[in-house]
Amino acid sequence: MRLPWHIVEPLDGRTFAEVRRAAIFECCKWDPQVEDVCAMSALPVVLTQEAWAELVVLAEQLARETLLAESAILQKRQCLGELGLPWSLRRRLRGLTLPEGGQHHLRLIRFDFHFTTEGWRISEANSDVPGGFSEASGFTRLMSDHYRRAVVPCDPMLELTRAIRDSACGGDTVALVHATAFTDDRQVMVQLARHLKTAGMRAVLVGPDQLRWNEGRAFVDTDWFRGGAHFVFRFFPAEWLPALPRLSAWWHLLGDSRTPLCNPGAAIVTQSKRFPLVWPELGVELPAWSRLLPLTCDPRHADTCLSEGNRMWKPALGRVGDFIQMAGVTPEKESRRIARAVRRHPRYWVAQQRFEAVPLEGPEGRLYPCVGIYTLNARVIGAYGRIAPKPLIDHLAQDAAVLVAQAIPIGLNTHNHSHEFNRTLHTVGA
Amino acid sequence: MNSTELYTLWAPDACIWSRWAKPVLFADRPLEATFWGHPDWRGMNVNWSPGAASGSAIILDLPEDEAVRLGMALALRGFRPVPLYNGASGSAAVVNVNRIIGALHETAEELAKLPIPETAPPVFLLDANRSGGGAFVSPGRFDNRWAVFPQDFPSANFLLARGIRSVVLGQVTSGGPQRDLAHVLLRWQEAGIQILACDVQREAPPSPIRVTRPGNFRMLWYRAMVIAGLRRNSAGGFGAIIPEPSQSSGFG
Repeated sequence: MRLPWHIVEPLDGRTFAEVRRAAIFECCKWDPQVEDVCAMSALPVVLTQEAWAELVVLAEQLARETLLAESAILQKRQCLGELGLPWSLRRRLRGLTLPEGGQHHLRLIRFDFHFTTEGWRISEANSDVPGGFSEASGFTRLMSDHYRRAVVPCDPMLELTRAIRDSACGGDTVALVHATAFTDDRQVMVQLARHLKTAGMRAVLVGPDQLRWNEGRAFVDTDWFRGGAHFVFRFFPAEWLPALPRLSAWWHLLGDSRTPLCNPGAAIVTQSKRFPLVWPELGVELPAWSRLLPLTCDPRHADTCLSEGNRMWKPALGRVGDFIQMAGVTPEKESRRIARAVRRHPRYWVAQQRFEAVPLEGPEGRLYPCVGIYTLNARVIGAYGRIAPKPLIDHLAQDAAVLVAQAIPIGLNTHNHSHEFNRTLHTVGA
Repeated sequence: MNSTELYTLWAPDACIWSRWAKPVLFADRPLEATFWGHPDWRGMNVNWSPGAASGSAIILDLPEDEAVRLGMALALRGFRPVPLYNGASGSAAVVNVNRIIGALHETAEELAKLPIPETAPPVFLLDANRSGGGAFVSPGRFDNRWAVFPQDFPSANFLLARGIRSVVLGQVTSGGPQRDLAHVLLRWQEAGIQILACDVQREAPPSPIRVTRPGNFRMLWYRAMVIAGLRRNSAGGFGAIIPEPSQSSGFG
């Protein structure tokens, strides 16, 4: 098997401490520690050029199919009942009318790729509010400074900033909507605000209840800013929107907005892990999805569709890998709780076939990388890596810089651990 | 002194506890050194505290800047202050963090001069007002309330491996810990770490407490629910990130 990555050495402790501090202050990485685990890995994932090229093709194909599927689901609204969405959200989506030229919204998606014994597979698409692009931008750049022959494939924060500026059609005010009380979300918005400011725009950081709408246009109503918004970037899960007061008219955020959005909340229909269950109803071809996503079914059909030792449970609207039950990985007690929830509420869960992820056997032992590829309007704009000592990427996984090797013969990519090879990539101590 | 320098004084690389120091108050925006004329921390009463060699860590859950100042007084006794403030600052903020920022500024250089050993036990600093004190949050304000989670602290295994056998909770009440903190302390208690508490305004030494099981303890959905609670208060309703299991009594 030809591995898609090169094995490199991690940064030494002293250098990495500098990178960590720079990530905190230059890139708004305000959650650098999770319990006993550093949130950032000193080991980057260095992809081969061949692997990167393949991921770009796959992700862009997935993105195009996702957009087609979303459109089909919104037209065939009986599908909405299958997706495990809250009732109030389903009701609004059924009545959703997208304005003329609704394509002025931006569609940002992150597809999470894992290299398996059968090649690349995806575990999910973060279609609604993909995170990590702050780390994928700043932290990755900081890491790349120490690896001479590897480069940052592209910078998602820069690409996103440009796209927002272009979409705002000459306006300069961008509302960054997020849960302001949650530092993990705020750090991403503050970093995006800094980029927007550099691009000559004004970013207003607001809670979702601080938006108002007038004739389909958004404006901000806070104690520190009142005025129209020329673009709304939402970093607040769509399934939470129904909790907002009616005054906020949150349903405009689903897509019925003359102010450009990223993402329109209708994206939730492909965020749901139950999205594959409606494929047969859509009448659109989804070859990339069908090939790359493991077999998925309703938990009530799991016994007939999937072998017991080869399946896992996922919540329809789970995020950050939480609440996934995987035999041999999820602690026994948690597994029992999840199994009980699945039995009681199967409409909010899926059963999915497991894949066998190939570990990255590096100097820090066996690690399982996940390479998240961002697409913006179906074009790849960056990559976000996470890495964990177990084949499950959850909140204890570390952020890892995803770099692409330059000028290295692909043929060298075997289990080559020679120091000479590592030094070609690693400048520290070289 | 810039933000990075200030943070480095409070979280020096050589200290093993620095990795848990929360950077948000240092990194959110250029810090303005607003000096408030805080009372001198050197005169503060810390007779209630255990010795630094007693195998105890301390959590100070005190309002505004009080934990910073008392943490400095404990640093004189050989403890390493670790700021765990995790709320952002900003205009029209619900939780006022200006005094905390001012105290961190005022005391940093003195902290750097104290001969705190690298092996010093930690004194974790919290703002007891982090949840906003139950005050009504008007819609136009910046909601910067926050909560602590178990993953904001070292695990019990980590503490035990560093010789920490007990944790003293210093607060301005003789009651139990705040609910979010109870989730942390109960995990440690279950792992065999003794939990003690004291009212720092009184002379009485810490006494052992039994942390009782808070609602949703070890619940898979606990973190999401707390965040939901913060969002609920700001947003006027309860979210439904994964609605059904949270309604089940089987997850408590």
